[in-house]
Amino acid sequence: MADFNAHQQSCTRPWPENSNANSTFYARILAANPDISGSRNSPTISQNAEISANMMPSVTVVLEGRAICQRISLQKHGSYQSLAKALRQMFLDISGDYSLEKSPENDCDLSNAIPGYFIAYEDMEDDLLLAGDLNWKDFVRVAKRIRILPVKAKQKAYGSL
Amino acid sequence: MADMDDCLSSIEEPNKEQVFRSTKVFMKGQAIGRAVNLNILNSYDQLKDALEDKFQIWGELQNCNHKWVLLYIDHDGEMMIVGDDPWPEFRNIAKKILIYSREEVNRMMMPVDFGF
Repeated sequence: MADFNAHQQSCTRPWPENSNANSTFYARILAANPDISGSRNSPTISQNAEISANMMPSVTVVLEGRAICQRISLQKHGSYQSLAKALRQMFLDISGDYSLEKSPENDCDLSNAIPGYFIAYEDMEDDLLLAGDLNWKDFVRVAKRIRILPVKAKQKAYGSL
Repeated sequence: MADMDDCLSSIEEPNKEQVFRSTKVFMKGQAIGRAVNLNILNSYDQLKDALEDKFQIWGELQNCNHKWVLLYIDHDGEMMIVGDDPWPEFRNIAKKILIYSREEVNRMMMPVDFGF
């Protein structure tokens, strides 16, 4: 009998019913199974946004001329400035050129993150655009790949529409 | 930008037209395009100002020189000259904007010889 009671104890849910933990649990279930509907604790709009954001994959960062690329999660950054700092650090780590480290951190934005290079991105239509024109939220939605290009690469025939 | 944020708050049925209002602009000879939000501009003049800034061609879109010509692609994929439509209508129909040199545009406007 004691064994049965012990078994019963182990079967109880580790979280109380109708708690906040429950809705987070459902958010994770929905993330894994988008077809589930009519769940008792349906996620709110903000939780939906969180699910959607967590489902977006990282984007590839291509440094022109380098054979090996890296990945970056745009969701972890809340602004272009944060992205610029991360890309500068990535560039330092790849190039081993730490002279940039001497620049003050709060001085780093897209235009000066990596001197001699500019930061562009490929969007969902495969167009190559300069990063910074869109607001951050729009950029995160549409950026498919980030390309760090030398300034001289700007001049090139724009081909097909 | 407040309008854009309001649109972005609803993501249940992401409608690309609804949530994304920037128009891409490409210049012939440049590999990298730019994006401009037509909804915060009130006239063709303001558009030309913004593009002269972004592409660093001050004075070359607006004045008599007209070194560069603005074209746009509509929803049917047709290439048109910017300026024929009332500004509010243009904002809705321009899917992409192109900046071509005057020489290039003159060449493209030459009638095609069908050889009859």
